[in-house]
Amino acid sequence: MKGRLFILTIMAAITVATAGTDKAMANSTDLDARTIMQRAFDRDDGRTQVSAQKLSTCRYAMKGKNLVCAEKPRVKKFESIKKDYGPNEKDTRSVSILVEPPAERGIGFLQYDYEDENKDADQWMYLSAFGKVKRIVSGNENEPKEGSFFGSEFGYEDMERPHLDDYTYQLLKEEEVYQGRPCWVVESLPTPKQARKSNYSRSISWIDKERLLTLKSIVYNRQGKRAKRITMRKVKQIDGVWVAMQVNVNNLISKRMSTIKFSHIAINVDVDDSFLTLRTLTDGAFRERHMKTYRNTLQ
Amino acid sequence: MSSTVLCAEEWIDIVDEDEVEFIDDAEPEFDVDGDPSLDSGSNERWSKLDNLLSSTHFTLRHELAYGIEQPKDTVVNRSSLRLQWEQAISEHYFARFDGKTSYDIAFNDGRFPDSAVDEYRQQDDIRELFFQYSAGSVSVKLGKQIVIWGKADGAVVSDIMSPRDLTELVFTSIEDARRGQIMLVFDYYYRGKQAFEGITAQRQWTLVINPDVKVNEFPSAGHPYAYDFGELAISEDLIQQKRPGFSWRDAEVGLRWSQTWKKFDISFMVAEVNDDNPVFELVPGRFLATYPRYQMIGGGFNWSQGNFVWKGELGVKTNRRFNLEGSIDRRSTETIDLAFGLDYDANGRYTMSLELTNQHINENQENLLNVRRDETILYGVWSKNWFNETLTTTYTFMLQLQDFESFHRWEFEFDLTDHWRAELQLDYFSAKEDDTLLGQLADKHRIAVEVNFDF
Repeated sequence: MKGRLFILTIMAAITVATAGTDKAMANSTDLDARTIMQRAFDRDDGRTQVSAQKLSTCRYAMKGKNLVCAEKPRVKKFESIKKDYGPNEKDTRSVSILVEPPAERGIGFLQYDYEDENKDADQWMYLSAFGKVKRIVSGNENEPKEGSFFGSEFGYEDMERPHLDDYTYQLLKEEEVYQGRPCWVVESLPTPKQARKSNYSRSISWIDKERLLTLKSIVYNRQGKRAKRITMRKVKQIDGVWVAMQVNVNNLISKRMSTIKFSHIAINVDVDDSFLTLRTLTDGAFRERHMKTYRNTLQ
Repeated sequence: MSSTVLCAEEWIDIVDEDEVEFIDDAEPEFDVDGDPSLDSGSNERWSKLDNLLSSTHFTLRHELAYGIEQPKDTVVNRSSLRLQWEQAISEHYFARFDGKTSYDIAFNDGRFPDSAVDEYRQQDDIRELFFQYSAGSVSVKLGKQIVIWGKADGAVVSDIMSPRDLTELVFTSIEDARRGQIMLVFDYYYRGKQAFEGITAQRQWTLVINPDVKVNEFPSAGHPYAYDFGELAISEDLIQQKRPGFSWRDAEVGLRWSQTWKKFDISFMVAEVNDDNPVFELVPGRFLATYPRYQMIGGGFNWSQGNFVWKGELGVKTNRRFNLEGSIDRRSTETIDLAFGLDYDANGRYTMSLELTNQHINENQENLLNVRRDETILYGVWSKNWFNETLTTTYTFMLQLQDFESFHRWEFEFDLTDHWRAELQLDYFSAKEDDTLLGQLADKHRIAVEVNFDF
């Protein structure tokens, strides 16, 4: 098992927004960039999320106007359950269990993320070959993180929930239609402190004005070169929450791409606190009993 | 901010709205060719058949190993099929099976005695077959299973409940390294009452009762890695095994309490078990290999801090017995086993583990047979992923500090596809003495390749 542990919060961090804010935002054309981002950051992404996800990665080529894999894609499937905690519901606890590939089936991760940027995430991994839970670390926060999520084009930094104050913002323009949605186009530049530990020197985000969903981001590497295009597709409203069912990252430098797809998802279902503990990693009966309940909620 | 980072004003000068439009217009649709799930949204994962299959994991493997010095020949040429299956049977019941069958054609070439061929050419092993009942805070597992304790990776400190398969010594793969025993394991999970910063401690009691006492498995006479009995100067024919066997009355017992809270994991254990390694007793005409009972009290911790996980473990073992040189007398004494180390993650560039372990035998006798009064080992692992984690390179070393003897391993693991894996492994020993921990392996350098198909 080579993938380091980062639970897929990108789907929650980037792609989920509440319908409840639709009306409030619809006519807000005079917002400044920071306020837009504040609202996007503060959106209610649902208190819990249960999902089955698939991550595909390949080297790509252009076929007509489409990007297609030029090799057999590497595929990982996993089931993930997460729940928000803390006064602002910005702390997150999550469990992910790998379903595929076969050699990694049953590997489990437990991760606690904290809103407080001074608190490192707590992470544990269960490998059946070792037969025990191992505490792991994700590296320090003072330098750019290398490597990627399970060998995909999602870097660890792409998976982390950003902090609003780590960036300055500028509204570049308002776009009438992107993916059929009115959008703000906002540029984010890291503060000097954030720039030291980021792989990116800036990003441009297309934010759905009504749904506050980031539909596309283009990130630039430390040399100022366009590095990745992250695109959200197939947006659906689930239990009042807007969810992008697919996220694609196109590495414009390596010409590789990864796609995460929710094959099934449920929002705001009851998730037992005891499930988001180490017991889930080692107690198969306990895990399956709860998973059966959660699977029944999936759409 | 780094010098390469442009401020907003500079960027606007360089990239105008047209470029933004260009970026947008140039965005192609994405598709992952040949990946139907991107389009179908099918429910394959959730069908009953898929649930059953998703609980099953087969591994077809072929291993080929060549001894570079002694023996200077093929030592392993083995195909195996392993099945792992686990399934919830009902709301509260769960079952797991882990079994393997193998055939080693290296034993077909006439180099080995019949007894070794019979024992090692074709092997079947059920590593785990247990049933579990789990309700509320309690879990009970009954059946053949493996219990792994402790925090240390490079030494046996408190991890004494499941013996090792040392037939191929250090060459045994991790998933084959433990022997299953028929055990009864109770777990009780509970939470701390007081929350601090919104987090309560996760706590667990574990009681292990093991009537099926097994011990470490060593290679028999005729096996390429059969033991050299050194100063004992005896043949294996003269050794009579007195293994513990199955008995509820003489069952091994272990109790562990563990807690995880914030950056700390701690655990404490007490146990009464049989020694997994033999202690010899002289009886008329024979040496009796016995596995005496001893008691252990121990504990361990993990503490994560930035890039590091610090870890430590202590095991105090009483009534352990050791042979003395020359006389085969047995000496009952206390040992203090200690490990301290760290895991380090260089922000995704590589990972590293270092561990220093020491076994201290609380005995003044200098003539202990094949063991030192203090045995100190530095153990390290460095690992790095390449090419989108399709290649992993790992270097492992073990350095015995008293005799300055060492073991080195280089591994290259290729993920060829989602189903095929290949591995190249080189092992090298540097040892001077015959009767030391690594001395028995001094000439056992080898190169091995392994191909796996998982489905």
